[in-house]
Amino acid sequence: MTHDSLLSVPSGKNGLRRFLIADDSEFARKNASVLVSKLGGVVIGEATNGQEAVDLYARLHPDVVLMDITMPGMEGTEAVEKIVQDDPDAVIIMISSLGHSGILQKAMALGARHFITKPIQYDYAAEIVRSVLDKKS
Amino acid sequence: MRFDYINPFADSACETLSRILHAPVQKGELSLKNSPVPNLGVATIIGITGQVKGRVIFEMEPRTALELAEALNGEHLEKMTPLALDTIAEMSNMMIGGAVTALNNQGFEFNVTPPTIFSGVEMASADIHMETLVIPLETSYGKVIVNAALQID
Repeated sequence: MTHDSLLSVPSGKNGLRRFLIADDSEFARKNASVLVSKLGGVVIGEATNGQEAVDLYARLHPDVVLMDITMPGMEGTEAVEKIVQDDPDAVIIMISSLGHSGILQKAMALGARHFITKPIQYDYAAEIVRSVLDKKS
Repeated sequence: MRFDYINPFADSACETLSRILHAPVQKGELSLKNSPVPNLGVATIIGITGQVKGRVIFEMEPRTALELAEALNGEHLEKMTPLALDTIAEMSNMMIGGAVTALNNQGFEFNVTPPTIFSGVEMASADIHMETLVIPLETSYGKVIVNAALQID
């Protein structure tokens, strides 16, 4: 068994886990895509701000959203609120350089399931995603 | 300038950069100057709002920025492409995020704005007088200077 397969999340009922990445930074989206790849998932959409994330969620219904907090226009926490309002079962994991308790609590109160801090530590981040999906199923 | 947040701020910025680069980063001697205006060629500006207000400017020479962007992307870059600039901006974002987190966990309440990056030789800029802490961080790719112009309400 390879190290990468140890990081993988189980497939969803329709196949590979489908991820939506929301971050205004191309470099950050690249890193998040690496995480998805290590998880054995697939990136089905990328948003560069909160409103795009809301729109893409409604259209694509991903299994998981990896959502940045600080973005131009609509911030990630507001996008979480809007997505969860429409889909209370949405699985959103915040992924941000901001890891302090205030912003964390706000994101969780609005419906985010968990939090990954940048720079991403892939093993730890994979554990978080796996634990969130395990709880959901 | 309050010294109860200076050291945690400087230490966090240094530690976060070291984690980003997976390499040791040396923090140089801290100093003060009258304005945060950058002059090395590549600068990322991040606004700070809340209980602590001001701005933090990360600056470096173009060669350092290019080498950092190459290292972080794992690919050769001929010049400062939009991806390279974005990489430096995001690197700065992560550094400030680490520092803000450390300070918020100590009871300060503040947030950051999305980063803006500038690149060019002989950049001309003007700024108000604002006491600025200068934190030099030495990496294997060159020096990254953190200019923190902050004031507490």
